Amino acid sequence: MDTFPIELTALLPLWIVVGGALALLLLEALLGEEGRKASPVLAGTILVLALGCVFHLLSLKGMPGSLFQGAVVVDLYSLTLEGICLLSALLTCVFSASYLRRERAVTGEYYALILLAVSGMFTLALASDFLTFFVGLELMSLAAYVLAGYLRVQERSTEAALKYFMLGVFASGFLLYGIALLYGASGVLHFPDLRHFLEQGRYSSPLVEAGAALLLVGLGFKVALVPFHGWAPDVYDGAPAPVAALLSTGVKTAAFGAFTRLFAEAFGLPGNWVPAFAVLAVLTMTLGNLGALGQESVKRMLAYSSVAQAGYLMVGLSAASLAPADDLERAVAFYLLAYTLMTAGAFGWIAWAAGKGETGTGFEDYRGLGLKCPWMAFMMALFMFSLAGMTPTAGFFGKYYLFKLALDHGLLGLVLVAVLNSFVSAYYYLRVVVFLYMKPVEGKETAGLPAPLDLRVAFLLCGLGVLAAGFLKFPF
Amino acid sequence: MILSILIGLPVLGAVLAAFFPQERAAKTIPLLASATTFIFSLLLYTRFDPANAGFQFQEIYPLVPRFSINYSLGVDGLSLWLILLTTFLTPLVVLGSFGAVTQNARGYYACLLFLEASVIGTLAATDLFLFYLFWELMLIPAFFLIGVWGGPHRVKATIKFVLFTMAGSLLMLVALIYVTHEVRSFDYTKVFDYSFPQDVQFWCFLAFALAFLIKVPLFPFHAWLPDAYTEAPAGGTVMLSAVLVKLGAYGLLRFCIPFFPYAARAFSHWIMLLAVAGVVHGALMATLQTDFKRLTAYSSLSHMGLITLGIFTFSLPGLQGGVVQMIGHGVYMAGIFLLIGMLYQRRGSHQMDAYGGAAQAAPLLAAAMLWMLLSAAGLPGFAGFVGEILILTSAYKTWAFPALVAIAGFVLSAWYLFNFYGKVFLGTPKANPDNTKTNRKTNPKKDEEIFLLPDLSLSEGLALLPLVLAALWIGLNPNFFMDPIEKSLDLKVIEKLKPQPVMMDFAAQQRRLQDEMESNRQPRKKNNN
Repeated sequence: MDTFPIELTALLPLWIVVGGALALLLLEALLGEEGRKASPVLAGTILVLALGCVFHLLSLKGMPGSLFQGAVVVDLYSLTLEGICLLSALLTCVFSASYLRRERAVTGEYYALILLAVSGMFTLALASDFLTFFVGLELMSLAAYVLAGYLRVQERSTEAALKYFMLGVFASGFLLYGIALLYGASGVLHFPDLRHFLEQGRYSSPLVEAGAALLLVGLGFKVALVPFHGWAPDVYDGAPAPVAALLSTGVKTAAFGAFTRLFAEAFGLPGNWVPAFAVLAVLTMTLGNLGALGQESVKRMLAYSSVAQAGYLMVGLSAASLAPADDLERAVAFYLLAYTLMTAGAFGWIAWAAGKGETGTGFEDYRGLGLKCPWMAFMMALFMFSLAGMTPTAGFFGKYYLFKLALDHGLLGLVLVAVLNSFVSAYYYLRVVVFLYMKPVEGKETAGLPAPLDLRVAFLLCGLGVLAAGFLKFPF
Repeated sequence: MILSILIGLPVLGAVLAAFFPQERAAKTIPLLASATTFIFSLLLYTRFDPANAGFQFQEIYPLVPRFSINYSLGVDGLSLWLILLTTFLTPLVVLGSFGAVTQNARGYYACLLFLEASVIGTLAATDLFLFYLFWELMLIPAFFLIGVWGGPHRVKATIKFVLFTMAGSLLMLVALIYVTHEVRSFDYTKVFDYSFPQDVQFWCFLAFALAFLIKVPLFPFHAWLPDAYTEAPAGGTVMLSAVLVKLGAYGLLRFCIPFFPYAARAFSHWIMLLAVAGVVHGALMATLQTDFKRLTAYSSLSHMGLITLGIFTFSLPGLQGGVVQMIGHGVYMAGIFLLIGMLYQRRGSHQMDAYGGAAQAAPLLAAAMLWMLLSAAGLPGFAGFVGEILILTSAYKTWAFPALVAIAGFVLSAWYLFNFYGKVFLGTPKANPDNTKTNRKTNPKKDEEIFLLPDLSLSEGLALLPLVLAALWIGLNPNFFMDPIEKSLDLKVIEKLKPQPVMMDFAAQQRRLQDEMESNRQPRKKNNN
């Protein structure tokens, strides 16, 4: 690969995904029905290819670092985030294939949209200046809005798309305003330059503070932190379940990844952010969990749970100004990986188990499923144990690293609140397992649901990942 | 390797049992796996060196190298008997469940074996992180055991059990993160040698102790116990009462007291009082029950209070008594709960009213039950006696008041246990309230026989025989159990508790360092000479 310029090779995953998205669109136009059928396989292949590239780049000795005059940065962290986004997209593709067939809504552009969203995620993960950051965010979000409303005959799906769009645009406004203020104060867009500027002691400028606060609000909307989370339950609940898997994992991973980089690297500042982040963390965890407690629909419960999970991440992020950026990014990346495996798995499971038109998403609908489809139900149980943070699943390790980071830097009170929250959350996660295995089946016997091979493989990989992720050796 | 094999064998058995399609294999595979595990575990006893208080059979492999978390296992006097108790009881539970569990038997045995593996892991872990992994892992199979194969109120019982345990564990996790950050190691011996400042000891002791005292359970934290014991299937109750709750006491001995000796001394009177309150509360509640499984659950609570009392006397006989009582309690509770399960299987009820004169119909069953109840009541020569006497005498020497109250609890214990025996096994035989349901399979000819209560079957007898023998063996030869652990208890618990101010500890550490440096110098001198 030496003959190629580094800009080509280091960003190869991005080129592959963008090219793939365009190719899928063309294919749909040129081949019609045939292309439509082949598109999930093609999309999957493209994603696997990109994943291969990411793994290859991860295994390289030296990281390419800053490229394109500092617009993007290719390091272990951004590559890891790319890998997690690809994983999320790949799982979504597998979940979507059988889901769309069942809903009779197979089109090629669906997969093209997923790939476009992924390319946005990549740009966001790679971003090292505000312009790239914003372009990536918008690219990702636009594709995500369309995906959320993909089943346009369903009222819920349309409503989800509209809500997502309105609040997403609103959030983008905040972001843009924040960026503008920061640029006005410092005259730079590049993250390291901003850091350099702030280190020179001109931090006290109210413009910088206001800009950073607006950025925090905008990103808070994007990753659904309380009190900016109002859209999240409706969108995750209303969007088609496989799309919800992508929105709650891939999109969130990219947004959180950029969030972390921004606040750990660009604003690596003493003290000031701890209270703001801690308050957001406490609110997000607590209200997310309380919201999830009362739900009668598993899908909506998962929607609230993904809000709560963002709160745990915020516990780690609260140490952003105290801990070294490396430690923080490592803990965040691991948690995002664990979170992606378990949440995408759980939403995918709903996509499978809810039946045609997603009519069966309630707890009651899964009564006794554990006896009819023991292995599929076991996978869901595994995801729930992991979400509840029970050992030895990835969810436990993820929480452990985040809490350890916060505790090592003296945030004992915050960690105690987090622990209390994960105790509360255990109740509603275990409730799913209770309905799957422990409630007697009443009324008529229904047949077990058939599970296609590709779904089984995807769930098996997810489940193994959830079990093994804590013990694997990661390069980052 | 022995310890890894002891953990691996049940896991292998569980996986095989879960994957084999035939129901017959579902019984034989778990039996084989757990029996082999037991035979392997005997190696622990034969190769154990009682003179060595450190960890033996050690294994260390890196688990998460970045955080220097190791997969490190080891056994010392504190854990030796509990591991053997676990491996000894599991095959008996499997055997005893043959008739009782018919639905989804594969899952049941898989859970049982997973539970065994995680218990052994918890006992053998010498890395704090690994310990926590196994400790929390125990919850999952126990959650399923109670929730899937339990009685009518099983869901409430299992949720209660899991949430109670989790509440304690999560606080322990916070303390564990703090402690390991302070010491900068997860290694047990490193934390053991470290002396924490007093205020840290105070809070960390509370966080650790809460997790273990909920598990034991100590008096105000016991709300999960009656429900969980009553609703769990017989095998699950045996594992809970005989093995799982012992891990609470083990945790106190292994972690709480040696890590935070100052705090342990400061809290010891409070905990002794609560332990005695548990003894009395359990006994009083037991006398009020009409459901004999619940009665036994409360009696188990009462006896566990005694073990906690023994531990917090901080004297060698008290600790030894505590450990012997743990083994004895494990054995006789296993016997009683297995027998209760067998009674339930025959008549579908845990109410004392539903039975009567059962000794006439099932003499062997009655004899086995009497044997176990005699052990539980602490008759000399049986399993319960030695532990009780040691605990009560050393508690009396430490602080007379709780010991005297505990004795009163024990008088009650004899009363309610024999009341139970009398109502169920003596008197005039009573008709089976719903004879239409039971025993049609086992005894189709005598279907109309309304007093029907078949005696022990072969597999049931085989499951009980070792327990009967063990109950006697513990009573007659307690030194067999006390001698190998004396050294460990002395050096790992008592020695740590010697009242020395924390600053003295620091001085002692420096002295030890100097000693080490000198001892390093000496061989060099020899070389020079």
